[in-house]
Amino acid sequence: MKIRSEGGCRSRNYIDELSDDLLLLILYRLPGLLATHCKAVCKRWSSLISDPSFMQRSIRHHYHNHNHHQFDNDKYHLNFLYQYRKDVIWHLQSIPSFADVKPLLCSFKLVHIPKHSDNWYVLTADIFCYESGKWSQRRVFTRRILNSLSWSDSLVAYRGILHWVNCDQTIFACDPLKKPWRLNVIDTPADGKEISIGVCRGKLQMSQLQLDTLNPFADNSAKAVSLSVWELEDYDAGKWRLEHMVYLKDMVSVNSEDYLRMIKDARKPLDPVKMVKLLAFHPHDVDIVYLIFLKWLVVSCNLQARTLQGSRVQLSKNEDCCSLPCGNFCSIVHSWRPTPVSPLSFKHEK
Amino acid sequence: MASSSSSSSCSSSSEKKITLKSSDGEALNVEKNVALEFEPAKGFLEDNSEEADDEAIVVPLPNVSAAVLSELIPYVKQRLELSAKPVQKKLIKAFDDQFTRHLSDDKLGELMLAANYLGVNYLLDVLCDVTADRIKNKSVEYVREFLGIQNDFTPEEEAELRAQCPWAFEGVDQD
Repeated sequence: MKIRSEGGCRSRNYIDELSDDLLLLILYRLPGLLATHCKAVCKRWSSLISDPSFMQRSIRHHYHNHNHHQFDNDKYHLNFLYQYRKDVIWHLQSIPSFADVKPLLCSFKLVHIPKHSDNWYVLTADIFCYESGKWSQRRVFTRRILNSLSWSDSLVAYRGILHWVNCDQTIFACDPLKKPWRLNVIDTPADGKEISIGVCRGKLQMSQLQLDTLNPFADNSAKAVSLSVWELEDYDAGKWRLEHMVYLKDMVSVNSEDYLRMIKDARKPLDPVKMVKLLAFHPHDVDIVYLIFLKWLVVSCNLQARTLQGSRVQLSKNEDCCSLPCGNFCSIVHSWRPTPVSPLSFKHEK
Repeated sequence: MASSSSSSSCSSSSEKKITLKSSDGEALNVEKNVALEFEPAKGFLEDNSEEADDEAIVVPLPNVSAAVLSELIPYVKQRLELSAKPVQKKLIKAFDDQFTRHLSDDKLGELMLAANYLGVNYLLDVLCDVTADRIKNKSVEYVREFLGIQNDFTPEEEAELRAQCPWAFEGVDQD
Protein backbone atom coordinates (compact mmCIF):
# COMPACT_ATOMS: atom_id res chain seq x y z
CA MET A 1 0.00 0.00 0.00
CA LYS A 2 1.24 3.41 -0.93
CA ILE A 3 0.82 6.03 1.75
CA ARG A 4 1.32 9.55 0.62
CA SER A 5 4.31 11.12 2.25
CA GLU A 6 2.83 14.58 2.70
CA GLY A 7 -0.06 13.13 4.69
CA GLY A 8 1.35 14.15 8.04
CA CYS A 9 1.76 17.84 7.30
CA ARG A 10 -1.81 18.47 6.22
CA SER A 11 -2.59 22.03 7.20
CA ARG A 12 -6.28 21.61 7.68
CA ASN A 13 -8.49 18.57 7.94
CA TYR A 14 -11.50 19.68 6.00
CA ILE A 15 -13.50 16.45 6.09
CA ASP A 16 -14.02 16.84 9.82
CA GLU A 17 -15.28 20.36 9.21
CA LEU A 18 -17.97 19.17 6.82
CA SER A 19 -21.39 19.01 8.36
CA ASP A 20 -23.13 15.64 8.40
CA ASP A 21 -25.38 16.76 5.57
CA LEU A 22 -22.43 17.66 3.43
CA LEU A 23 -20.55 14.49 4.19
CA LEU A 24 -23.66 12.49 3.36
CA LEU A 25 -23.78 14.16 -0.05
CA ILE A 26 -20.46 12.48 -0.77
CA LEU A 27 -21.37 9.14 0.78
CA TYR A 28 -24.63 8.88 -1.19
CA ARG A 29 -22.56 8.96 -4.33
CA LEU A 30 -20.63 5.83 -3.45
CA PRO A 31 -21.88 2.58 -4.86
CA GLY A 32 -23.66 0.59 -2.17
CA LEU A 33 -20.97 -1.94 -1.56
CA LEU A 34 -18.34 0.68 -1.02
CA ALA A 35 -20.55 2.63 1.34
CA THR A 36 -20.83 -0.51 3.42
CA HIS A 37 -17.12 -0.94 3.68
CA CYS A 38 -16.64 2.73 4.49
CA LYS A 39 -18.35 2.02 7.80
CA ALA A 40 -14.93 0.93 8.98
CA VAL A 41 -13.36 4.33 8.30
CA CYS A 42 -14.35 5.96 11.58
CA LYS A 43 -17.17 6.09 14.10
CA ARG A 44 -18.82 9.09 12.54
CA TRP A 45 -18.97 7.47 9.12
CA SER A 46 -20.17 4.25 10.64
CA SER A 47 -23.11 5.90 12.34
CA LEU A 48 -24.05 7.89 9.23
CA ILE A 49 -23.96 4.86 6.94
CA SER A 50 -25.71 2.61 9.43
CA ASP A 51 -28.67 4.97 9.67
CA PRO A 52 -31.77 3.30 8.23
CA SER A 53 -32.49 6.27 6.00
CA PHE A 54 -29.05 6.14 4.42
CA MET A 55 -29.79 3.46 1.90
CA GLN A 56 -33.09 4.99 0.92
CA ARG A 57 -31.58 8.35 0.19
CA SER A 58 -28.62 6.81 -1.54
CA ILE A 59 -30.90 4.91 -3.90
CA ARG A 60 -32.87 8.03 -4.60
CA HIS A 61 -29.68 9.90 -5.37
CA HIS A 62 -28.60 7.29 -7.89
CA TYR A 63 -32.05 7.28 -9.39
CA HIS A 64 -32.14 11.01 -10.01
CA ASN A 65 -28.82 10.81 -11.76
CA HIS A 66 -30.13 8.02 -13.88
CA ASN A 67 -32.42 10.42 -15.77
CA HIS A 68 -35.48 8.34 -15.20
CA HIS A 69 -38.82 9.82 -14.36
CA GLN A 70 -39.24 11.02 -10.84
CA PHE A 71 -38.55 8.60 -8.05
CA ASP A 72 -39.78 10.79 -5.29
CA ASN A 73 -41.40 8.41 -2.97
CA ASP A 74 -40.79 8.84 0.71
CA LYS A 75 -43.16 6.17 1.78
CA TYR A 76 -41.02 3.12 1.49
CA HIS A 77 -38.70 1.98 4.21
CA LEU A 78 -36.11 -0.55 3.37
CA ASN A 79 -35.54 -1.48 6.96
CA PHE A 80 -39.05 -2.74 7.47
CA LEU A 81 -40.20 -4.80 4.60
CA TYR A 82 -41.01 -8.39 4.52
CA GLN A 83 -39.13 -11.06 2.84
CA TYR A 84 -39.75 -11.77 -0.75
CA ARG A 85 -36.69 -13.37 -2.17
CA LYS A 86 -33.26 -13.55 -0.80
CA ASP A 87 -31.84 -10.52 -2.51
CA VAL A 88 -34.67 -8.64 -4.14
CA ILE A 89 -36.79 -5.79 -2.98
CA TRP A 90 -39.85 -5.00 -4.96
CA HIS A 91 -40.91 -1.47 -4.91
CA LEU A 92 -43.98 -0.40 -6.72
CA GLN A 93 -45.13 3.14 -6.71
CA SER A 94 -46.31 4.04 -3.23
CA ILE A 95 -46.13 0.49 -2.02
CA PRO A 96 -43.42 -0.70 0.27
CA SER A 97 -43.43 -4.20 -0.90
CA PHE A 98 -40.85 -6.83 -0.30
CA ALA A 99 -37.39 -6.97 0.98
CA ASP A 100 -34.68 -8.97 2.35
CA VAL A 101 -34.49 -8.37 6.07
CA LYS A 102 -30.99 -9.48 6.73
CA PRO A 103 -29.62 -7.29 9.50
CA LEU A 104 -27.01 -6.03 7.12
CA LEU A 105 -28.86 -5.20 4.02
CA CYS A 106 -25.86 -4.59 1.89
CA SER A 107 -26.38 -6.48 -1.30
CA PHE A 108 -29.74 -6.49 -2.97
CA LYS A 109 -31.70 -5.47 -5.99
CA LEU A 110 -34.65 -3.15 -5.92
CA VAL A 111 -37.39 -3.34 -8.48
CA HIS A 112 -39.42 -0.25 -9.00
CA ILE A 113 -42.39 -0.42 -11.30
CA PRO A 114 -43.48 3.08 -12.20
CA LYS A 115 -47.12 3.83 -11.72
CA HIS A 116 -47.73 5.52 -15.00
CA SER A 117 -46.95 3.67 -18.11
CA ASP A 118 -47.17 5.46 -21.43
CA ASN A 119 -48.49 2.37 -23.02
CA TRP A 120 -51.13 0.12 -21.54
CA TYR A 121 -49.61 -2.87 -23.19
CA VAL A 122 -46.13 -2.32 -21.89
CA LEU A 123 -44.95 -3.02 -18.38
CA THR A 124 -41.80 -1.22 -17.33
CA ALA A 125 -39.53 -2.04 -14.43
CA ASP A 126 -36.57 -0.07 -13.18
CA ILE A 127 -34.07 -2.30 -11.44
CA PHE A 128 -31.48 -1.01 -9.03
CA CYS A 129 -28.45 -3.04 -8.13
CA TYR A 130 -27.17 -1.79 -4.80
CA GLU A 131 -23.78 -3.32 -5.28
CA SER A 132 -22.97 -1.35 -8.39
CA GLY A 133 -25.22 1.60 -7.63
CA LYS A 134 -26.69 1.42 -11.11
CA TRP A 135 -30.22 1.47 -12.44
CA SER A 136 -31.35 -0.34 -15.51
CA GLN A 137 -34.69 -0.63 -17.21
CA ARG A 138 -36.65 -3.56 -18.60
CA ARG A 139 -39.87 -3.73 -20.50
CA VAL A 140 -42.30 -6.46 -21.30
CA PHE A 141 -45.08 -6.40 -23.87
CA THR A 142 -48.41 -8.02 -23.34
CA ARG A 143 -51.54 -8.48 -25.37
CA ARG A 144 -53.69 -7.57 -22.41
CA ILE A 145 -54.49 -4.13 -21.17
CA LEU A 146 -52.64 -3.46 -17.98
CA ASN A 147 -54.22 -1.43 -15.27
CA SER A 148 -51.43 0.96 -14.64
CA LEU A 149 -53.16 2.64 -11.76
CA SER A 150 -54.36 -0.11 -9.52
CA TRP A 151 -51.09 -1.51 -8.35
CA SER A 152 -52.21 -0.67 -4.89
CA ASP A 153 -55.09 -3.10 -4.96
CA SER A 154 -53.38 -6.33 -4.25
CA LEU A 155 -49.87 -7.34 -4.70
CA VAL A 156 -48.05 -10.39 -3.51
CA ALA A 157 -44.70 -12.07 -3.85
CA TYR A 158 -45.08 -15.78 -4.23
CA ARG A 159 -42.54 -18.35 -5.37
CA GLY A 160 -40.11 -15.55 -5.98
CA ILE A 161 -42.44 -13.99 -8.49
CA LEU A 162 -44.51 -10.86 -8.22
CA HIS A 163 -48.28 -11.37 -8.50
CA TRP A 164 -50.96 -8.76 -8.80
CA VAL A 165 -54.59 -8.51 -9.80
CA ASN A 166 -55.16 -6.90 -13.14
CA CYS A 167 -58.25 -4.95 -14.13
CA ASP A 168 -59.68 -7.91 -16.01
CA GLN A 169 -59.84 -10.03 -12.81
CA THR A 170 -56.91 -12.14 -13.82
CA ILE A 171 -53.72 -12.44 -11.85
CA PHE A 172 -50.52 -11.37 -13.54
CA ALA A 173 -47.26 -12.95 -12.52
CA CYS A 174 -43.82 -11.87 -13.54
CA ASP A 175 -40.22 -11.74 -12.42
CA PRO A 176 -38.45 -8.78 -13.99
CA LEU A 177 -35.08 -10.14 -12.96
CA LYS A 178 -35.42 -13.26 -15.02
CA LYS A 179 -34.45 -13.26 -18.64
CA PRO A 180 -36.39 -13.26 -20.84
CA TRP A 181 -38.91 -11.27 -18.88
CA ARG A 182 -42.24 -12.98 -19.24
CA LEU A 183 -45.67 -12.11 -18.00
CA ASN A 184 -47.83 -15.05 -16.98
CA VAL A 185 -51.56 -14.81 -16.58
CA ILE A 186 -53.57 -16.84 -14.08
CA ASP A 187 -57.32 -16.89 -14.63
CA THR A 188 -59.54 -16.61 -11.58
CA PRO A 189 -63.06 -17.76 -10.81
CA ALA A 190 -63.94 -14.31 -9.51
CA ASP A 191 -66.40 -12.22 -11.43
CA GLY A 192 -66.34 -8.84 -9.78
CA LYS A 193 -63.96 -6.22 -8.52
CA GLU A 194 -62.68 -6.09 -4.93
CA ILE A 195 -60.33 -8.99 -5.41
CA SER A 196 -57.39 -9.41 -3.08
CA ILE A 197 -54.64 -11.95 -3.15
CA GLY A 198 -52.30 -13.22 -0.50
CA VAL A 199 -50.35 -16.25 0.59
CA CYS A 200 -51.38 -18.75 3.24
CA ARG A 201 -49.76 -22.10 4.01
CA GLY A 202 -47.50 -21.54 1.05
CA LYS A 203 -50.40 -21.32 -1.38
CA LEU A 204 -51.78 -18.39 -3.24
CA GLN A 205 -55.11 -17.21 -1.84
CA MET A 206 -57.69 -15.00 -3.40
CA SER A 207 -60.64 -13.29 -1.80
CA GLN A 208 -63.58 -11.43 -3.19
CA LEU A 209 -66.03 -9.15 -1.47
CA GLN A 210 -69.36 -8.93 -3.18
CA LEU A 211 -72.70 -7.30 -2.62
CA ASP A 212 -75.44 -9.86 -2.76
CA THR A 213 -78.35 -8.20 -4.43
CA LEU A 214 -80.69 -11.16 -3.90
CA ASN A 215 -80.25 -10.96 -0.17
CA PRO A 216 -83.09 -9.36 1.82
CA PHE A 217 -80.52 -7.34 3.75
CA ALA A 218 -79.48 -5.64 0.60
CA ASP A 219 -79.97 -2.22 2.09
CA ASN A 220 -77.07 0.13 2.50
CA SER A 221 -75.28 -2.03 5.02
CA ALA A 222 -72.38 -4.35 5.20
CA LYS A 223 -74.69 -7.25 6.06
CA ALA A 224 -75.33 -7.96 2.47
CA VAL A 225 -71.68 -8.34 1.70
CA SER A 226 -70.37 -11.79 1.04
CA LEU A 227 -66.78 -12.86 1.34
CA SER A 228 -65.35 -15.70 -0.69
CA VAL A 229 -61.90 -17.18 -0.33
CA TRP A 230 -60.24 -19.44 -2.85
CA GLU A 231 -56.98 -21.28 -2.71
CA LEU A 232 -54.88 -21.93 -5.78
CA GLU A 233 -54.60 -25.66 -5.39
CA ASP A 234 -52.52 -26.33 -8.42
CA TYR A 235 -50.37 -23.39 -9.42
CA ASP A 236 -49.24 -24.73 -12.75
CA ALA A 237 -52.68 -25.85 -13.86
CA GLY A 238 -54.32 -22.72 -12.45
CA LYS A 239 -56.84 -24.77 -10.46
CA TRP A 240 -58.69 -22.91 -7.71
CA ARG A 241 -60.65 -24.39 -4.81
CA LEU A 242 -63.32 -22.44 -2.96
CA GLU A 243 -62.39 -22.54 0.72
CA HIS A 244 -65.00 -20.27 2.25
CA MET A 245 -68.08 -18.32 1.31
CA VAL A 246 -69.70 -16.37 4.12
CA TYR A 247 -72.07 -13.45 4.53
CA LEU A 248 -71.03 -10.78 6.93
CA LYS A 249 -74.54 -10.88 8.38
CA ASP A 250 -73.84 -14.39 9.65
CA MET A 251 -70.76 -13.34 11.50
CA VAL A 252 -70.85 -13.02 15.28
CA SER A 253 -68.77 -10.57 17.21
CA VAL A 254 -66.55 -12.12 19.85
CA ASN A 255 -66.24 -8.95 21.86
CA SER A 256 -69.18 -6.79 22.76
CA GLU A 257 -68.79 -4.50 19.75
CA ASP A 258 -71.34 -4.83 17.03
CA TYR A 259 -69.21 -4.10 14.01
CA LEU A 260 -71.96 -4.37 11.49
CA ARG A 261 -74.01 -1.93 13.49
CA MET A 262 -71.07 0.46 13.48
CA ILE A 263 -70.90 0.28 9.76
CA LYS A 264 -74.60 0.91 9.47
CA ASP A 265 -74.38 3.89 11.80
CA ALA A 266 -71.50 5.39 9.90
CA ARG A 267 -72.21 8.99 9.14
CA LYS A 268 -71.79 8.78 5.43
CA PRO A 269 -72.93 5.45 4.14
CA LEU A 270 -70.76 4.42 1.29
CA ASP A 271 -71.05 1.63 -1.14
CA PRO A 272 -71.27 -1.36 1.27
CA VAL A 273 -68.50 -3.17 -0.49
CA LYS A 274 -66.26 -0.15 -0.06
CA MET A 275 -66.85 -0.13 3.68
CA VAL A 276 -65.17 -3.47 4.08
CA LYS A 277 -61.82 -4.36 2.65
CA LEU A 278 -59.63 -7.37 2.97
CA LEU A 279 -56.39 -6.33 4.56
CA ALA A 280 -54.42 -9.56 4.75
CA PHE A 281 -54.55 -13.30 4.90
CA HIS A 282 -53.25 -15.18 7.89
CA PRO A 283 -49.95 -16.71 6.84
CA HIS A 284 -50.71 -20.14 8.28
CA ASP A 285 -54.40 -20.38 9.08
CA VAL A 286 -56.63 -20.49 6.04
CA ASP A 287 -59.70 -19.80 8.20
CA ILE A 288 -58.51 -16.38 9.29
CA VAL A 289 -58.46 -13.20 7.28
CA TYR A 290 -58.09 -9.62 8.38
CA LEU A 291 -60.64 -7.09 7.27
CA ILE A 292 -60.66 -3.38 7.60
CA PHE A 293 -64.01 -1.79 8.34
CA LEU A 294 -64.81 1.81 7.57
CA LYS A 295 -61.20 2.38 6.61
CA TRP A 296 -59.96 2.45 10.17
CA LEU A 297 -61.09 -0.55 12.14
CA VAL A 298 -59.02 -3.70 11.79
CA VAL A 299 -61.02 -6.85 12.42
CA SER A 300 -59.84 -10.42 12.52
CA CYS A 301 -62.36 -12.67 10.86
CA ASN A 302 -62.59 -16.41 11.49
CA LEU A 303 -64.35 -17.84 8.47
CA GLN A 304 -64.77 -21.30 9.98
CA ALA A 305 -66.20 -20.21 13.33
CA ARG A 306 -67.87 -17.19 11.69
CA THR A 307 -66.61 -14.76 14.28
CA LEU A 308 -65.30 -11.24 14.17
CA GLN A 309 -62.79 -9.85 16.60
CA GLY A 310 -61.63 -6.28 16.58
CA SER A 311 -57.96 -5.72 16.98
CA ARG A 312 -56.61 -3.49 19.67
CA VAL A 313 -54.80 -1.55 17.02
CA GLN A 314 -57.03 0.96 15.36
CA LEU A 315 -56.03 3.27 12.62
CA SER A 316 -56.73 6.88 13.29
CA LYS A 317 -60.21 7.76 12.15
CA ASN A 318 -59.02 11.01 10.71
CA GLU A 319 -56.29 9.45 8.75
CA ASP A 320 -57.01 9.32 5.10
CA CYS A 321 -56.97 5.64 4.49
CA CYS A 322 -58.90 5.72 1.26
CA SER A 323 -56.00 4.43 -0.67
CA LEU A 324 -54.83 1.91 1.88
CA PRO A 325 -53.68 -1.02 -0.13
CA CYS A 326 -53.29 -4.38 1.47
CA GLY A 327 -49.73 -4.36 0.27
CA ASN A 328 -49.01 -1.81 2.96
CA PHE A 329 -49.59 -4.37 5.66
CA CYS A 330 -47.46 -7.26 6.61
CA SER A 331 -48.75 -10.10 8.70
CA ILE A 332 -46.21 -10.68 11.39
CA VAL A 333 -46.75 -13.81 13.39
CA HIS A 334 -44.68 -16.07 15.50
CA SER A 335 -43.28 -19.09 13.81
CA TRP A 336 -45.89 -21.72 13.29
CA ARG A 337 -45.57 -24.79 15.45
CA PRO A 338 -43.59 -26.91 15.35
CA THR A 339 -40.93 -24.26 15.76
CA PRO A 340 -38.17 -24.90 13.28
CA VAL A 341 -35.34 -26.55 15.10
CA SER A 342 -32.11 -27.31 13.39
CA PRO A 343 -31.74 -31.05 13.01
CA LEU A 344 -29.53 -32.81 15.48
CA SER A 345 -26.39 -34.04 13.96
CA PHE A 346 -25.59 -37.58 14.92
CA LYS A 347 -22.02 -38.50 14.70
CA HIS A 348 -21.41 -42.15 14.21
CA GLU A 349 -17.95 -43.00 15.15
CA LYS A 350 -16.41 -45.63 13.07
CA MET B 1 -14.16 33.76 -26.89
CA ALA B 2 -15.50 33.82 -23.40
CA SER B 3 -13.87 37.13 -22.52
CA SER B 4 -15.06 38.91 -25.64
CA SER B 5 -18.66 37.88 -25.07
CA SER B 6 -18.58 39.05 -21.49
CA SER B 7 -17.36 42.49 -22.37
CA SER B 8 -19.68 43.07 -25.30
CA SER B 9 -22.97 41.39 -24.47
CA CYS B 10 -23.32 41.82 -20.74
CA SER B 11 -26.01 44.16 -19.55
CA SER B 12 -25.14 47.23 -17.62
CA SER B 13 -26.26 45.78 -14.29
CA SER B 14 -23.78 42.92 -14.50
CA GLU B 15 -20.97 45.29 -15.19
CA LYS B 16 -21.43 46.91 -11.83
CA LYS B 17 -18.69 45.88 -9.49
CA ILE B 18 -19.12 44.73 -5.93
CA THR B 19 -16.35 44.40 -3.41
CA LEU B 20 -16.07 41.14 -1.48
CA LYS B 21 -13.98 41.06 1.66
CA SER B 22 -12.37 37.70 2.39
CA SER B 23 -11.65 36.15 5.77
CA ASP B 24 -8.07 37.30 5.57
CA GLY B 25 -9.11 40.88 4.94
CA GLU B 26 -8.44 41.08 1.22
CA ALA B 27 -10.83 43.00 -0.99
CA LEU B 28 -11.82 41.48 -4.32
CA ASN B 29 -13.75 43.28 -7.02
CA VAL B 30 -16.35 41.15 -8.81
CA GLU B 31 -19.22 41.74 -11.19
CA LYS B 32 -22.52 42.08 -9.43
CA ASN B 33 -24.05 39.08 -11.22
CA VAL B 34 -21.22 36.90 -9.96
CA ALA B 35 -21.60 38.19 -6.43
CA LEU B 36 -25.32 37.43 -6.56
CA GLU B 37 -24.48 33.75 -7.03
CA PHE B 38 -23.13 33.72 -3.48
CA GLU B 39 -26.00 33.42 -1.01
CA PRO B 40 -24.46 35.50 1.80
CA ALA B 41 -23.53 38.24 -0.65
CA LYS B 42 -26.99 38.16 -2.17
CA GLY B 43 -28.57 38.50 1.24
CA PHE B 44 -26.22 41.31 2.17
CA LEU B 45 -26.95 43.20 -1.05
CA GLU B 46 -30.68 42.83 -0.57
CA ASP B 47 -30.42 44.15 2.97
CA ASN B 48 -28.41 47.12 1.78
CA SER B 49 -30.33 47.79 -1.39
CA GLU B 50 -31.01 51.40 -0.41
CA GLU B 51 -27.37 52.20 -0.93
CA ALA B 52 -27.31 54.08 -4.19
CA ASP B 53 -23.77 53.29 -5.08
CA ASP B 54 -22.99 49.61 -5.43
CA GLU B 55 -19.35 50.40 -5.71
CA ALA B 56 -19.35 51.58 -2.13
CA ILE B 57 -20.68 48.29 -0.79
CA VAL B 58 -18.21 45.93 0.79
CA VAL B 59 -19.62 42.44 1.39
CA PRO B 60 -17.86 40.62 4.21
CA LEU B 61 -17.37 36.88 3.64
CA PRO B 62 -15.70 35.89 6.90
CA ASN B 63 -15.63 32.15 6.13
CA VAL B 64 -13.76 32.19 2.83
CA SER B 65 -10.13 33.03 2.24
CA ALA B 66 -8.94 35.21 -0.62
CA ALA B 67 -7.12 32.26 -2.17
CA VAL B 68 -10.33 30.24 -2.38
CA LEU B 69 -12.39 33.18 -3.55
CA SER B 70 -9.99 33.91 -6.37
CA GLU B 71 -10.48 30.32 -7.59
CA LEU B 72 -14.22 30.45 -7.20
CA ILE B 73 -14.86 33.75 -8.91
CA PRO B 74 -13.53 32.84 -12.39
CA TYR B 75 -15.32 29.49 -12.19
CA VAL B 76 -18.67 31.02 -11.32
CA LYS B 77 -18.20 33.70 -13.93
CA GLN B 78 -17.51 31.25 -16.72
CA ARG B 79 -20.20 28.90 -15.57
CA LEU B 80 -22.71 31.76 -15.65
CA GLU B 81 -21.70 32.60 -19.19
CA LEU B 82 -22.02 28.97 -20.21
CA SER B 83 -25.43 28.48 -18.69
CA ALA B 84 -26.70 31.73 -20.23
CA LYS B 85 -26.10 30.22 -23.66
CA PRO B 86 -28.12 27.33 -25.01
CA VAL B 87 -25.18 24.95 -24.69
CA GLN B 88 -25.34 21.24 -24.24
CA LYS B 89 -24.96 19.70 -20.81
CA LYS B 90 -21.91 17.91 -22.13
CA LEU B 91 -20.11 21.20 -22.54
CA ILE B 92 -20.85 22.23 -18.98
CA LYS B 93 -19.66 18.87 -17.80
CA ALA B 94 -16.44 19.21 -19.75
CA PHE B 95 -15.93 22.62 -18.21
CA ASP B 96 -16.54 21.24 -14.73
CA ASP B 97 -14.15 18.38 -15.37
CA GLN B 98 -11.49 20.75 -16.50
CA PHE B 99 -11.94 22.84 -13.41
CA THR B 100 -11.76 19.93 -10.96
CA ARG B 101 -9.13 17.78 -12.67
CA HIS B 102 -6.14 19.59 -11.27
CA LEU B 103 -7.51 20.36 -7.84
CA SER B 104 -5.43 18.98 -5.01
CA ASP B 105 -7.24 17.03 -2.32
CA ASP B 106 -6.88 19.87 0.15
CA LYS B 107 -8.12 22.41 -2.34
CA LEU B 108 -11.09 20.17 -3.05
CA GLY B 109 -12.05 20.23 0.61
CA GLU B 110 -11.56 23.95 0.96
CA LEU B 111 -13.67 24.62 -2.10
CA MET B 112 -16.37 22.30 -0.84
CA LEU B 113 -16.65 24.14 2.44
CA ALA B 114 -16.69 27.43 0.59
CA ALA B 115 -19.27 26.28 -1.97
CA ASN B 116 -21.47 25.08 0.86
CA TYR B 117 -21.12 28.31 2.80
CA LEU B 118 -21.71 30.41 -0.31
CA GLY B 119 -24.62 28.24 -1.44
CA VAL B 120 -23.20 27.50 -4.89
CA ASN B 121 -24.99 24.20 -5.24
CA TYR B 122 -23.93 23.32 -8.76
CA LEU B 123 -20.30 23.54 -7.72
CA LEU B 124 -21.00 21.59 -4.54
CA ASP B 125 -22.53 18.82 -6.64
CA VAL B 126 -19.49 18.65 -8.86
CA LEU B 127 -17.09 18.62 -5.92
CA CYS B 128 -19.00 15.85 -4.17
CA ASP B 129 -18.88 13.81 -7.38
CA VAL B 130 -15.15 14.28 -7.62
CA THR B 131 -14.52 13.38 -3.99
CA ALA B 132 -16.67 10.26 -4.28
CA ASP B 133 -14.85 9.33 -7.47
CA ARG B 134 -11.50 9.66 -5.79
CA ILE B 135 -12.37 7.31 -2.94
CA LYS B 136 -14.37 4.86 -5.04
CA ASN B 137 -12.98 1.31 -4.97
CA LYS B 138 -10.31 2.24 -2.45
CA SER B 139 -9.40 0.49 0.74
CA VAL B 140 -10.51 1.83 4.09
CA GLU B 141 -6.89 2.76 4.85
CA TYR B 142 -6.66 4.74 1.65
CA VAL B 143 -9.90 6.59 2.36
CA ARG B 144 -8.64 7.52 5.83
CA GLU B 145 -5.32 8.69 4.50
CA PHE B 146 -6.85 10.51 1.55
CA LEU B 147 -9.27 12.47 3.68
CA GLY B 148 -7.04 12.71 6.73
CA ILE B 149 -9.45 10.92 9.01
CA GLN B 150 -8.32 9.57 12.34
CA ASN B 151 -9.28 5.96 12.92
CA ASP B 152 -11.19 6.09 16.21
CA PHE B 153 -12.06 2.42 16.39
CA THR B 154 -10.29 0.07 18.71
CA PRO B 155 -8.66 -2.80 16.80
CA GLU B 156 -11.37 -5.11 18.20
CA GLU B 157 -14.19 -2.86 17.01
CA GLU B 158 -12.70 -2.57 13.56
CA ALA B 159 -12.16 -6.30 13.28
CA GLU B 160 -15.77 -6.85 14.28
CA LEU B 161 -17.03 -4.42 11.64
CA ARG B 162 -14.97 -6.08 8.98
CA ALA B 163 -16.12 -9.50 10.07
CA GLN B 164 -19.76 -8.48 9.64
CA CYS B 165 -19.40 -8.22 5.90
CA PRO B 166 -16.04 -9.59 4.83
CA TRP B 167 -16.96 -9.53 1.16
CA ALA B 168 -17.20 -5.74 1.30
CA PHE B 169 -13.48 -5.58 1.85
CA GLU B 170 -12.49 -7.76 -1.03
CA GLY B 171 -11.39 -6.57 -4.40
CA VAL B 172 -10.61 -2.96 -3.56
CA ASP B 173 -7.73 -1.11 -5.14
CA GLN B 174 -4.82 -1.12 -2.75
CA ASP B 175 -3.10 2.06 -3.88
